[in-house]
Amino acid sequence: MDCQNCKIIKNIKNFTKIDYTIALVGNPNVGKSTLFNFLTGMNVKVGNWPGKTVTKIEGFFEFKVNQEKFVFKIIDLPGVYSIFSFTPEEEITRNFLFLGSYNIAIIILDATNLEKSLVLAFQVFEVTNKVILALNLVDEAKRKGIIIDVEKLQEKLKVPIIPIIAQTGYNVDNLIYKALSIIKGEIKVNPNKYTPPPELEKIIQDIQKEITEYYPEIKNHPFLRWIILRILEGDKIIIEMIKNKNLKTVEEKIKNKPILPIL
Amino acid sequence: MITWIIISIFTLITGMIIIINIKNRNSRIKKEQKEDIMKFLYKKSKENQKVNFESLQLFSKIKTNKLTKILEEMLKERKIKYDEDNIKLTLDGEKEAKEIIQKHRRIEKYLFEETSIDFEEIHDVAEKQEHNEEIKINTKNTYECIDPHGDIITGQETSSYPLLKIIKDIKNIEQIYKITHIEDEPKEIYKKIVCLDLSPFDYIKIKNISSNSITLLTDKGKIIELDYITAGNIFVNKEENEEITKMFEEIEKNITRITTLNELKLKEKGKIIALSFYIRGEERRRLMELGFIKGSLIEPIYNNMLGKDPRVYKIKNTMIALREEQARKIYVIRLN
Amino acid sequence: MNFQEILEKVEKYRIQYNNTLKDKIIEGMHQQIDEILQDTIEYKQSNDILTKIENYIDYFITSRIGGIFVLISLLSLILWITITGANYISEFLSNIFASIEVFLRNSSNLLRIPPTISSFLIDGIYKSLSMVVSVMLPPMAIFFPLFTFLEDLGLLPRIALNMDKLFKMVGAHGNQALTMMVGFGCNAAGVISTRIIKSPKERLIAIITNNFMPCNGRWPLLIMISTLFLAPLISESLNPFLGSLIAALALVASVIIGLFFTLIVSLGISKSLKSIPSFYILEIPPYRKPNLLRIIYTSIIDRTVFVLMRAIYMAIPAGAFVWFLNYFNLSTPIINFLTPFGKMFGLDGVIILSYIIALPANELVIPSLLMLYTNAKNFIDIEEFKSIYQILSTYGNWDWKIALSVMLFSILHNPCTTTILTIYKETKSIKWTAIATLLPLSIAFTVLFILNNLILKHL
Repeated sequence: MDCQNCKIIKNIKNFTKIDYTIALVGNPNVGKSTLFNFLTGMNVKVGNWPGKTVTKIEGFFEFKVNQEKFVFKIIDLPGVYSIFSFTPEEEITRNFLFLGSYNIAIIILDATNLEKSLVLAFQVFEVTNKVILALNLVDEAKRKGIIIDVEKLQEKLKVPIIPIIAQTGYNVDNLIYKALSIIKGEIKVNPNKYTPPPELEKIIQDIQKEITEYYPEIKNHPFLRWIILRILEGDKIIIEMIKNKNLKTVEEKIKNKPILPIL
Repeated sequence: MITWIIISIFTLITGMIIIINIKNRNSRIKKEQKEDIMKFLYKKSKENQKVNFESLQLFSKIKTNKLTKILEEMLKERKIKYDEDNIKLTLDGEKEAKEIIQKHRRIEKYLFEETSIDFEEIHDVAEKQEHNEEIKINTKNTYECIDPHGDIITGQETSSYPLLKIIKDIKNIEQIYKITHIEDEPKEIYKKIVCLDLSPFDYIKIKNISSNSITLLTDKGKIIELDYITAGNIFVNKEENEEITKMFEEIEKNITRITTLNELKLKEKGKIIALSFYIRGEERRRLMELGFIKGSLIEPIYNNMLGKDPRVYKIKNTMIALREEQARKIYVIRLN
Repeated sequence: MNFQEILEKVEKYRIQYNNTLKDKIIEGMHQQIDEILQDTIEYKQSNDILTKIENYIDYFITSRIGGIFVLISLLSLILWITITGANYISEFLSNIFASIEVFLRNSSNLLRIPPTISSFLIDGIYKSLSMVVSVMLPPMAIFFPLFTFLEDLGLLPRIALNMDKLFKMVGAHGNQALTMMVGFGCNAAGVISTRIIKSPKERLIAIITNNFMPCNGRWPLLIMISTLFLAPLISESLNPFLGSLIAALALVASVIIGLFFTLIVSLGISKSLKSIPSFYILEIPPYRKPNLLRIIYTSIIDRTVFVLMRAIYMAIPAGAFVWFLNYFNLSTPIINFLTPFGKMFGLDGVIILSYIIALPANELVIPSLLMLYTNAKNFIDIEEFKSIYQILSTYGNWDWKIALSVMLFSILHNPCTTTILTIYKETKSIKWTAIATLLPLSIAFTVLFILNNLILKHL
């Protein structure tokens, strides 16, 4: 499904409203900023995430399909290997993906190192359904003799995958077009979730039963299983949220963490 | 002239700061001493030992008149009571001592899980920080209850016995045990145990018992010879699980090929079999995310300009540089 | 069942699985991914020449001789390009600023603005502003893109890998080498770049010691003094080739001195602080084709403009201050007041005062030195080295001993206010900001005191 009449307009200045928000997620060194720069050009806002010494980068671009025009805001989330919130970067990414407001998250995969990228992708699948995968560096992978069956991979992950080359901007318009149709609900995405080993599954079932008994409202939460996994791992923030029966108190909890900076 | 004025003002300000600091320090030290005394009394009462003034002084190394003053204060606060010559904790005092010990364990847990402080130093840091009032660790909400020595922070103690005990019974050779607890005092012996990479939840198989040492095989394929004093600080439980027995058979078959990552030569391929318990917290998580898990293939590919430390390893198509002390904690099996 | 009991149950499972529950979760994830990838990805033996070349380059960089060669040649190449290129742009900019100045003077005459006010605005504020921009911008605008180019290429992690052992010995993080390289361009940017170090203690070490890398605000001074006062010690005649050679050598020597103090101070801090050391896992990324747009974007927006704006904010009050000082003839009593203090360290009152004036930006040192010696009413441009030599040697009685002291002071003294402000923003701690400011200053004074009173006196 190629998009013939699509056009990305960067460096936009005058726009009255933002139609949709995109979050960029990916490992460090996968070409996240390259894609970001390709989309936005020079019109970017650089600041800090609230209360953190982590740079926050936002940009804007316009996307034209046939006669329609859409203004996108794009947020470049920090490059992380996972979202289990050890470092401030991971915490920011996790909190944004879990509770932030955005229309779609583009996860950038490194075609030369798919395994490492998928570890992050699987974790993102656990917290959100609004995802699309961009397979970057396909040219380099080809050079190195790595052949990826995109169709099959797409089938297995149940998420659309668009091969791109962020460096040259190859296929990026198709990526945005696809993302747009997911946002509009023309394509339904339900990613293949993490299936733990059977022995672990038993424990998850057991704890899930107890938690839903303690906090019945959570029963229909789309990411309940992820929450259970986090409790098994001893994530203090999630545990605190469940204990207070409130999933919104993310910001406060950080204070409960004992901090021993310089002894 | 002007220089002198500046110097004298400077000295005056420094002097004042020092005086204020000393005052604060004194009251802090006093509090620490009190808490240490309570901890000591609690431990001794658990071991059913009696404590009098002399033994307390021997432990705390405080001068007689100072100690008398502190004890008088504690008596007033109703934290201790005298039973003839012996000093005992009151119920209040016992409760407080328990809380301090729990706090100590919890700080250790925190330091172990979320920081990379040297393992040998964790106990010392926790010993200091347990007196710090700014660190409020809620004693009621326990998220994780096992401390780095394998102890359970709240609740009952597990039943286990020191490795030393089994030495007397020669039948124990070829028997498999699970380490349940490692004593962290005295520090030198603890350091040695950590250095040998023995940790709670490790399985060990007794290979040989001689008149002054005990040889064992760990579940990471390491053969270790322990002297009796060290063995006395390791607590174990018998393990009779078939899977574990099979695992040990497998290990014994491949024993010559098992080594640590830092021992691999350049361009020599290996397969990871285990990460040490002492790779923890964020570091463990990060390594596992990068593919350092059981069964991954790994190969050292480059040294660096200044030598072998750190070294670049190729794992799952990525190049990762690790320092030598990290590589030493990763167990691999050589592939031919 | 209450919440506490649920947590206890979790804990029981954890003990049952020998504390490996967390490991099991991530291992399971890898297993699933391996299964998915098994029949979707295929690795072919590739005879790609580029890959082979990359491997050879890596092998060369990580070898002993190759590593040292690459390190030194890269450093000198970047220095050379920056020094040479900056001269041209600097000249170009000061010409523009000079013509704007003429225009401003004419228009102020036309508008009949009182001479005191127009002198304050033009000689005080405008001149200091243009001075800072024309001196500070060009080296940054050249150095940072070069640096970002290397960063984009993927070369910097390899250099950090090579340097790690040195930093490990003093208890610092290997990535500190990278932050020092950024600090070589500008200390404030260097301080910001310490964000790549995660553990608080090692990051603090990197922040405090960053100042020992002479930033390019200090290069002109180091180059100038070494050419004017140290080169004649070796050879009386100043041919241009020898002069530039000495300048380059002086910069390299400054870097080595800075590195030496960095390592010593790092060792001191890491020994005196018991804190949370971080682990060392460095990913060596594959080489990538650098993206020009990204290079320009990161180096100009993220670093150059960021630092320059802060410097400009600082230069305006400094310019106003100097103007007042000279206009009301206040400089002489202050200099007389500071002279005995300066003499203790082999400096004099003028040097101390210029460093106080140059707190906002190190570039201000040379102009304020010259201005204070000649008692001029405003910053003057650096015209020719010869006349500067005359000013310094006749008005200031400079010899090579004072020159050496000034150079050492320049390398070791406190960071500029821009950097101090950045340190405060990054650490959020007044205590550590004060230490980062006063520690280098006290080291500078101690070194100078020892040097002058124990060594130079007897020569």
